[in-house]
Amino acid sequence: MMNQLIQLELYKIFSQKVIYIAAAVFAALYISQFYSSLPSAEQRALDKAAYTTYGGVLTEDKLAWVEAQYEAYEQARLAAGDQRLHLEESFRAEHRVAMDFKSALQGRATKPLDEHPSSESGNRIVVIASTGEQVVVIQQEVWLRILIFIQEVGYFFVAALVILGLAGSYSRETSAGMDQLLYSSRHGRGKGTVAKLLAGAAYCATIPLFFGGLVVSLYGVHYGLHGWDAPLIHYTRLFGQTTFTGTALHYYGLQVLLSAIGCIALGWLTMLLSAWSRNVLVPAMIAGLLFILPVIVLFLSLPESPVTWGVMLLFRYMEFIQANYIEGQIPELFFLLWGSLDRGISAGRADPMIMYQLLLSLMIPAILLYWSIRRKQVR
Amino acid sequence: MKLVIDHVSRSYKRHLAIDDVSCELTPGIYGLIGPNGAGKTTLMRMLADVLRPSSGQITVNGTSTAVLGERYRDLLGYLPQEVGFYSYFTGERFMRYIASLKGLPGRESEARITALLRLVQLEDQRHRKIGHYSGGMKRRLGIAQALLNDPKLLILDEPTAGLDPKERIRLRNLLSDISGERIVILSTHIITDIEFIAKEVLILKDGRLVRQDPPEQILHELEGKVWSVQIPAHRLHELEKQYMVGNIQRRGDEALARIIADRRPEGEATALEPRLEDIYLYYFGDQPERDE
Amino acid sequence: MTRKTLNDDLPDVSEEELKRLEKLLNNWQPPYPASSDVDRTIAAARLELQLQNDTKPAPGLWIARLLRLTATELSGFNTWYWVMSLFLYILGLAVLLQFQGEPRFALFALAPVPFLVGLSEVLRSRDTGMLELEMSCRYNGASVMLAKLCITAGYTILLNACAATWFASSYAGLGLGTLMQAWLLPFTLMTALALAVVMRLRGSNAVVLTLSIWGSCCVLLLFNPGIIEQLTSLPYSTGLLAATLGTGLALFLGYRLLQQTNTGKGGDWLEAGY
Repeated sequence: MMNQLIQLELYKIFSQKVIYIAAAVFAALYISQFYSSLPSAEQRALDKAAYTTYGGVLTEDKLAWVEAQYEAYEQARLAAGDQRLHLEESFRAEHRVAMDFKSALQGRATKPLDEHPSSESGNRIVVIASTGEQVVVIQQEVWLRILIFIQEVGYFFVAALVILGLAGSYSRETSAGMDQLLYSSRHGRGKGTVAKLLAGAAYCATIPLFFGGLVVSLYGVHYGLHGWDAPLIHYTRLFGQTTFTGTALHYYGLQVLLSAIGCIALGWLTMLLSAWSRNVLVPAMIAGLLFILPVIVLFLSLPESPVTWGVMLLFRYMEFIQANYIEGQIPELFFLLWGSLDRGISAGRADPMIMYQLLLSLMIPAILLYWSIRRKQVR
Repeated sequence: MKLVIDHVSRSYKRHLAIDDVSCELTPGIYGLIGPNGAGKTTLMRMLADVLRPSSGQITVNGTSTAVLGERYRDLLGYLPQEVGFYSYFTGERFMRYIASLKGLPGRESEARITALLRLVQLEDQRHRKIGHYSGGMKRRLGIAQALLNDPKLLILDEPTAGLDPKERIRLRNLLSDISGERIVILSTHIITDIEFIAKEVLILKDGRLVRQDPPEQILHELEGKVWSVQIPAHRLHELEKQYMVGNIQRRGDEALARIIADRRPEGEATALEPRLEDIYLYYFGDQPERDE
Repeated sequence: MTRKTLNDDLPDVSEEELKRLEKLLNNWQPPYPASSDVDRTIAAARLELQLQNDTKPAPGLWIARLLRLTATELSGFNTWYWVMSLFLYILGLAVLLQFQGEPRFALFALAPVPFLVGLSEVLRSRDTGMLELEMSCRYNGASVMLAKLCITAGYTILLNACAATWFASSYAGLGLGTLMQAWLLPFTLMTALALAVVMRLRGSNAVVLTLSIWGSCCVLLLFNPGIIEQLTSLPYSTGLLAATLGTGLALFLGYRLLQQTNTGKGGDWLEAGY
């Protein structure tokens, strides 16, 4: 019975052609953005070759090469003066590798690992003198772009689709007069609401998966997905200071999961608003406004007050969907789900508040919705 | 005024909703009856200039309504089967809105609005929002707006739906009063609405016009074919297999059935005066499995 | 009647008979019809005159009618539309100015918003089922929709023009022409897109869809400042050409939308699942 209810609710959501139109348009926009910034195949091949040849674990030879490369670049830049710097693409690619080493070192002193000579004679591994950690450089472009997609633009596409798909979940039924039939039936209020919530959650969960799949496919086809098994800390451009000890793929999986949960939170809020309105536009507009409300408060530099603090604390849907709080903030709940440190998950719990807020953002709309529908009277 | 429907057809993709309907209408009341899906609403929409025929034409005094356009709609009063009122409008504001759509000058329309709202007994509700009206009140408001421009052609699609018996009688009497120089076409499933006031009855079946005659003439056809039969209740099923059965009254173990049959049925059967409702059954009822 | 005339026609009529005939004719009254017959004749004649009056209204009269209809529709617009669209517009301008500090982009991004929100009002009668009734009136559904489109477009143009004027006076180095161009292009193009969408979708869905599409475009543009600079600094000729094309497309699609509600095209929307 419940399965059938959920299936029917899913059918109602997925039979809206507006969500397919929106998904197609957003995908087209992102694809055009992707291709407009995609380097040529030759350049990509040169990048890959440079990272393969010069990247990896830092050794004495590579350290010397990095310094020489940096010096050569600086000389070329000085020689060019105010003129535009004309360099071969292969040189640029190698320079990028050198700069990645440079930024990973961050001016810190290094020392060779005498006790662990490398297989190549006289070419010892170089580590950071103070911490003893190795310095590894990999090609970061692919997985960095995949990981920051949801934080840069993806959150907007995702939120728009969530709101589009669920804004009419109750209001359409109210305006069509279907609510009378539903609320007078045996399961119309209780099980019907639970089924709606679960179907809404399933819909919301598919959205980050869809966009995630799109992004991974695009980068996979044009760059390849190597680097998925590299520790996240090797992605030094953004995650050089991360406490997350898993791989890029681990992080990505967690990001998609948390983003999906954030979508569900927004989706259930939208459904709650829909239950309080007869017009589809009203819950859509309010949900959209609440989604961007913290940004508005921030950029308008509104004075600190209980109201602004309340807004910043209660309506963190954008952060939930962007899931940019993963590093060092895994709370007990996920620690329990993911097991122990053996799986590479950091035990750092710098700020567990956001996860509890996420839980509250899930529970409160769901409970309010259930309570509203149980008590609802048809006008 | 003469309204001529000349070989009009209307199709939606593969479905032929109206199939070569032709008739002439002069001032008076016409009842349009037919089962659901017969094409009544489609025909009325074409008469209301909301829909164009796929073929054929509708003319008024010899000129096609497609040519007349706005001049034709000036003569119209139309009440659709379902009206999606703006729920945040008050009754009075809605009437003023329709008056301006009908091109009525402001001063003239104010008096007319008041008179019509009084006529349909909504004058004391005029400042209330339509969203708070009952179904019957909305229907009455719909009738009032149809009369705003004193139309020569009044098209009412199920005007009595949602009205209580007293309101239905009032509407019938109102239509009788105003029908003198107007063509009034009303479709209904409640046969008593038109039984005593209609000049002619138009019967639509599967998109075709099967009859256009005065009610008396149609009823005359059924004389000697309507019977009242009293049988034990357990034999009703057999009776339904043999004849077209209308009303059934159960009295304990006995049942009194009104049936339509060309010949006197077996058993105790009394001949009855036919009613227009019997026409409905005669044309649209399920045929018995086995003819007598 | 004279003797001479009578002699010419009736030579054998006597003087006495002539006088009696004259008296009879002088006292004769033609039989008048009943007042109800007179009324019926007048009504029929009036109807016939009405039907035969085929004069198309002069352009001036047509515009006057449209203005009158616009005034009627204006009073019917939901108050929330004015409040919400103004609120969103001002809020959006404030946030974008704080975030990016570039008035041209703020105008660019907010230009079509009031019109897109107003589409829900334009299509209200279609979505609620009032359109069928409106189509049977003298000023039919197409006229009503045209009046509503004029209101929303006019309101949007007014808001954008006011904002552009204010920016031109408040920000040094920003010409009014540049600012006008900044909002005209997105307004015309998004109007055209929105009109194409509403022909296929319910008003509320169309509004949310077009707003989210436009929002996505703006978010993507924020990551491409070079493109923003290009779009908001087009040469006048290019900008004018693009705006003209956009306006033409919007007018064409608007015409197509009005045709949808015009009986002449069959009113097939009645069968659509709106």
